[in-house]
Amino acid sequence: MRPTSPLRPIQSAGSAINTGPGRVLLFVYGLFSVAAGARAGVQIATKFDEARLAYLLSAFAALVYVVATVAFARGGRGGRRLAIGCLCVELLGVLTVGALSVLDRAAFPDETVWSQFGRGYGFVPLALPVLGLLWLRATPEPGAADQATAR
Amino acid sequence: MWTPLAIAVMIGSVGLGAWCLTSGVRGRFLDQNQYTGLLVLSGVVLVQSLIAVGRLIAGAHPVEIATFIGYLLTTVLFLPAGLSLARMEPTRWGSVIAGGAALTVAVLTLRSVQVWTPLR
Repeated sequence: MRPTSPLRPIQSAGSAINTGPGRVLLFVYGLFSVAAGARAGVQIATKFDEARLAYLLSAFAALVYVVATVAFARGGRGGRRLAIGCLCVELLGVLTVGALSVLDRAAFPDETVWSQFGRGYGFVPLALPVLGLLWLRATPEPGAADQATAR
Repeated sequence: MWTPLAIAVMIGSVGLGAWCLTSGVRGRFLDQNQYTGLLVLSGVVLVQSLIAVGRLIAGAHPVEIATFIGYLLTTVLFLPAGLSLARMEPTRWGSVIAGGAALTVAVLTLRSVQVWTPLR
């Protein structure tokens, strides 16, 4: 665990979300960007007409993972906000698509990353936004204390 | 793909991955042996991919060729990428990244074998 000292410079406080467990998240999001992106690319290029909705959703999921990867790599306040937004969209997406794919199988003739709550990927797509949001909640918002003292 | 080597890669990467993750759980960064092991594994993965490329050029045709080439590229680049990220984080979390990368290589290798070989 990183010791938190009041004398720590502001710059390093800004990078808190992309160190330690945050770097593991960066790694897993990078992996999912590649996995979902490659899958969507192959699906759309070779058999788009078979399951348009599923393949567009694959592409959307890939986009969310790419933006989340960038957010975790950037860190700081902007990165943190972007990460929170991405992770909320992702959680909503995996829950909605997961539920729909179980209830209405006909609408999802082919698998997406989020189908059946990400079962094809060991349920990691379901666990990832939850773990990510817990991590973001555990890290202090950079610059918040700084602003409070400036007023 | 050459199945005996693929099986060796899978066993090696699961073993190394578990070893690195154990270090992570114990709160330690990778030691020199683990680091060397991961470098050797990266080398073996590269050799295996070169064999696959050779067989593709010689006329072998995997069932899903686009997917196979995707897996091939990802597998070769994955461990070096994971290792460089792990080195930026010389804490227990670096060991977790390296262990996760090694386990992913096992899954990627398994998937490569599956899309290479026709289902019977």
